[in-house]
Amino acid sequence: MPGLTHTLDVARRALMAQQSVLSVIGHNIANANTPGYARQIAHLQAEAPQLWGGRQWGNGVTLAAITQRRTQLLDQRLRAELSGLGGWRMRATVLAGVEELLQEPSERGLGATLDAFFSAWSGLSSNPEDMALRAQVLAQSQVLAERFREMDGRMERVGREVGAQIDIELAAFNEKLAAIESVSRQIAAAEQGGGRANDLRDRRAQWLDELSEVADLQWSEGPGGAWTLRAGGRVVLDQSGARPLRRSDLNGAVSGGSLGGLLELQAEGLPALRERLDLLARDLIAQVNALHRAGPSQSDFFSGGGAGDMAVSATIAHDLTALNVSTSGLEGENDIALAIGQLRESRIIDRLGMTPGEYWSAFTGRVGTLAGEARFQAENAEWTAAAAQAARDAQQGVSLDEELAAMVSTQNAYLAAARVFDIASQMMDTLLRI
Amino acid sequence: MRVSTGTLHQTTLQHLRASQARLARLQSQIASGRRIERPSDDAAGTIQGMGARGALRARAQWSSNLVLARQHAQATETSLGAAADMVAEARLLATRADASQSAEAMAALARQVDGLLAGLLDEANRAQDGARLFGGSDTRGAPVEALRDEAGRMTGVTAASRAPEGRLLRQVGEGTLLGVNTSAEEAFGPGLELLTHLIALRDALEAGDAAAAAELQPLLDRDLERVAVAQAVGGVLARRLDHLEERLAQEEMRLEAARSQFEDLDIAQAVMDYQEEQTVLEAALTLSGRLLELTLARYLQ
Repeated sequence: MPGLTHTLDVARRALMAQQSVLSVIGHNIANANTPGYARQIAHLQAEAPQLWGGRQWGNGVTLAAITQRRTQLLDQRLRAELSGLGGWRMRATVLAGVEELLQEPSERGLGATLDAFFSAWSGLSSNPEDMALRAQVLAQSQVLAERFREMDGRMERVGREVGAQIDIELAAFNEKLAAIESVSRQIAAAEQGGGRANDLRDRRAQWLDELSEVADLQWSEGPGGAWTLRAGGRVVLDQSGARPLRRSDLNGAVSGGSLGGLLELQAEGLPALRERLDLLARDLIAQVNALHRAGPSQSDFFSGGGAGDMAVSATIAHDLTALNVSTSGLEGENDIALAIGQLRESRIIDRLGMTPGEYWSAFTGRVGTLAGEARFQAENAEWTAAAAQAARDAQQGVSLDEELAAMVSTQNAYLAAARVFDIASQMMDTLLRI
Repeated sequence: MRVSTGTLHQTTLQHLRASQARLARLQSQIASGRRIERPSDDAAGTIQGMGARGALRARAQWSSNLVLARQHAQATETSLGAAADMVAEARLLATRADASQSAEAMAALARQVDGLLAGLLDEANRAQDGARLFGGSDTRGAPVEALRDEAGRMTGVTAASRAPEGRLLRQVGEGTLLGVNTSAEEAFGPGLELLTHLIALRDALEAGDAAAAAELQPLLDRDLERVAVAQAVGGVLARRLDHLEERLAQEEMRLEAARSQFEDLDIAQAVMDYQEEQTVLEAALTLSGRLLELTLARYLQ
């Protein structure tokens, strides 16, 4: 039969084990609000028994392991949602900026300027002898051309801002990639001697979460801790080291996350919108010039070939008499002014499909649809990412109530073990006093 | 299901943020009075609203064109009225000429006719805001030039307009073009015969030829009838302009109602929605506060 020394030893182990549990609980409580932290669990197990007098005697308790509950499936689901969120949020931000520059629906947008242009010509056709109305046509035409140029310039600027943001996101991506590489090596080194580097793994997982908002990632960890990180199918990190993405690598390599959203806007979304704006300007210039050239001055009314360089021709800007109101040049005739004024109702834009006003409304509607869809998807993605986060936290998040309950339980076990120690110690004293 | 402390906080915050975002949007809409503040609020509604705005702007211009067309028509009507009065007076003077009149009396009648002739020439060359009324689409120069002898007496007239048949077309509606002018020929006859008839009458009176003056009376009746027809055509144009103005006004009302329906906010509904959302947010804040306070830590000593 084991003696009192054995009992004291069992109590000592119990005190140490509960103290370890309390330490893990304290660690969990300390990190209750730490992003990416996965709750740690101290696993106790009974010490191997000893054989005395033909019986197995228990040796108390010991701390077997400190583990985490982390499921790769939930990590991947969350990262996929974060990737979608990053992309839609970036699209929503950029497209909201494009919406702002349209200033529609209002009396300050291009729609009102187009109408003012046609109204000026229509007004001139009603009073073709009036030189003041010619000056009004010139002024409205200059405003229209300036509006086109300004809008084209602003859209180009949005494109440049997107390009600059791509560089920023790319730099942040590569910086985080280097950090993930570094922490992965630390994990490998720490786990060489056995056990799991829980906190370092948490840090890496958190960085992978953050990186997922920038690009679509596939993380895999094979047996023996071999890891591979892919962005859009391209390996950007493995055992041999990080392979930072360069600007030239991006096309087709990244499709999700904020980087993917920006790349899509830069490659397709913004150029397509700018091209549509340009088409309106091009067709309008062509139609107005064709009508205007039939007059005595035989000059083009607009110079330039599109939204970016549209202007009233220098000839007309410097000499109002070169502005053709009629083909004959008679002061009371107004066929050219009337025809240009009537372009408002003519299907002259986009292969004779729409009136200028309809085309501009459709353009605005398209921007609105794209921006609204991006905003809607971003809001949805926030909820789905939050749901994925909640699902992961349900497994690995810290619940303070749970930790406090465990703390009380641990405290009780510690008190009881201490009591055992105290009694055994008193018994030892009694024995020694004999 | 386990609910972590972080999830509890995050879920609460997310719902509060969503509620605050809805409140902020309603607040902005109420402040601006607009349901559509940017195209993405309702892309289809934006297209419809912009269509209505464009149509309203076009109608504003057509209304303005219509005002100018009416001014032109009114000036023409006034001028034709004056011409009709003068022709009628000339016709009356022609009836007074008979063989019993003395040479002086006939000369006096001739002077009166000459005065009417000058008045008619003025009307034929009348301008409205610098544009000749009867010059066809050549509105700058005088459409009728008088030929005079050495003494300055009018001996004939000639049409000087380069486009006497030209129509002054004005757009006063979608695809609606109206010719607003009356040509010199429509008012004064082919070759400006009304004026040549008056010259002939004056000459007959000066010569004391009562028979020649009598022969001119039916011609003057025809001239008077032609002016009356031109006045009647002007009346038709005026009624058409009235009708078009009324139609434009009705269309403006309909389009403004459509624009408002698409773009403007139903303030009463929005205020109710705002109050409802505010109540929801207040309840959520109260409950969230209580929920987040519920922790074992408060009960452990």
